[in-house]
Amino acid sequence: MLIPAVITTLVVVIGITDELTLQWQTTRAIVTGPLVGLLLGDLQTGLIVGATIEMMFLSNVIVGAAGIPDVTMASAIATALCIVSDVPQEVAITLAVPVAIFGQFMSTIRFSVLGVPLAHLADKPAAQGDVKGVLRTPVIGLIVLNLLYIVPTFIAVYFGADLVSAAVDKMPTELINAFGVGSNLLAAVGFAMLLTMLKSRKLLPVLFIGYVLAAFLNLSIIGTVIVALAAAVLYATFSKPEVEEVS
Amino acid sequence: MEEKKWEPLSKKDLWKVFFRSYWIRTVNCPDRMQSLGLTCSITPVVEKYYPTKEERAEVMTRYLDEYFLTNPVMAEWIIGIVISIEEKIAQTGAITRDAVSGVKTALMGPLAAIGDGLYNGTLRPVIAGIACALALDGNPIAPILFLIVMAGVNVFIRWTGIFWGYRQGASFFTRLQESGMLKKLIEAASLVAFMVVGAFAATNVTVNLGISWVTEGTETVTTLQSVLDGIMPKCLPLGFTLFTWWLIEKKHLKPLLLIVLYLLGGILLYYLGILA
Repeated sequence: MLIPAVITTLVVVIGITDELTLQWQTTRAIVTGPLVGLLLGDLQTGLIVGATIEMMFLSNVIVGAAGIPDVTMASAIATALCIVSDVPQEVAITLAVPVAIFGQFMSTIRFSVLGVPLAHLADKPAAQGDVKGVLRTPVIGLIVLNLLYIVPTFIAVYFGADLVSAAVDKMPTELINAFGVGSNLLAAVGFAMLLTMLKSRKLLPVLFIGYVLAAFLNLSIIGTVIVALAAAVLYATFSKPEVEEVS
Repeated sequence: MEEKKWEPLSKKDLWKVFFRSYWIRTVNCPDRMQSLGLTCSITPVVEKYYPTKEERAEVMTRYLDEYFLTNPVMAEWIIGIVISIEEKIAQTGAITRDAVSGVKTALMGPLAAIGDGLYNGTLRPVIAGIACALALDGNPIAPILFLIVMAGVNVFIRWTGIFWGYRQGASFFTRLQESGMLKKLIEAASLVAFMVVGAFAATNVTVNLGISWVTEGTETVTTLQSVLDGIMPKCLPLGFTLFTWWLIEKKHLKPLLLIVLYLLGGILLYYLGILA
């Protein structure tokens, strides 16, 4: 299990480094899942596990300092275990939940325990007018914070794979079906979170247009997006300009 | 000495600021949040205008000690404005750095709201949702599409922040806000998001009832689900999503708690025969 563990850890490192610097969103399950899948030789599983976990956590946004459930580690580990230990997808997706909770706990540690000493490493070079020294601080921070994720990811895949596959072997099919039913409900949380982010509540009726397009007319998601974009352009063109404080 | 050497920031300097501004949220800490990232972002200006260690120390310590927190993608808008003020400070010496603190404090709240609401809160979930729909169909383009859109928008906002923010200063942002454009953009984005969530809820949340009965005298088995589907297909997933929204917004239940509850609840209801 050494190679899958190394590959999964690598994908998590890419995600965490991106989250801390570029923010191109390689942190998200929709990227990490397929990437782990591709590298472990099962892209299809990666796409499905990644997409399902992504929908669960569709709209978790860091607001201020609060820790959020971790999607990067959760999706990478779940995808890897699903492929390596031949776990049914329903079970792998369920496994992502405890990992995400553990990740949230870790992000709190990262911020409040490690953040203070790491950020204050810059104090001394700054006081000495040492620009290079100040610029070195985030590099050190990046390495230390990555280590925080490397260790649990590697352990989870390296030691977890056999444990999980042994446990799943003993699992009755009924229970696996039940996991499927439970995990099918989880996307509702992601979509509900997205709704809480939308502040223009007067536009809520549009939600039912989207629903009718998909449920009654079986329009694909791309079709729905085209309708939505057209409606948005019309709305912006014909609504009367209002001057209001944005905040 | 420096007065003779003064010249405006060059393109190269701005690019340096652009790249170093990617450190904005690498090391956050509760007492200062992104102040280290901001300090790193303005180091090209410090290097250019202040040759002595004492001056550099003064400027960097000031930035480092001041609390700074905004949306990391929108932070460049503030950085662009800050370096334009820093340039004037170096040129004339007439302005104090309180002007910088003023701009930071005034803009970091509203920009955080826009960035969290539009980029992280609307654009990302909508694009991710589309990508998820494609991925569930087994289309390998899905993650690539998601990354191209997100990285493209990210680089564009950051680039405009540094280059336009530097050139136009705070006036650009004020004008944008006063013209009502920003509000329209937010509303148009909400419209797209609402429609897409309506469609997502119908297609990606699965709630199937397991309850069925046999009509007396015949052999036909009727499921409650088929009755409901005949009236209003996918009404349970939609209702369930709206119910979850209500739980989060009005009852203030934590999303993670709901995930655990739904998972366990789903398993339980399956065994009770209510869900299939």
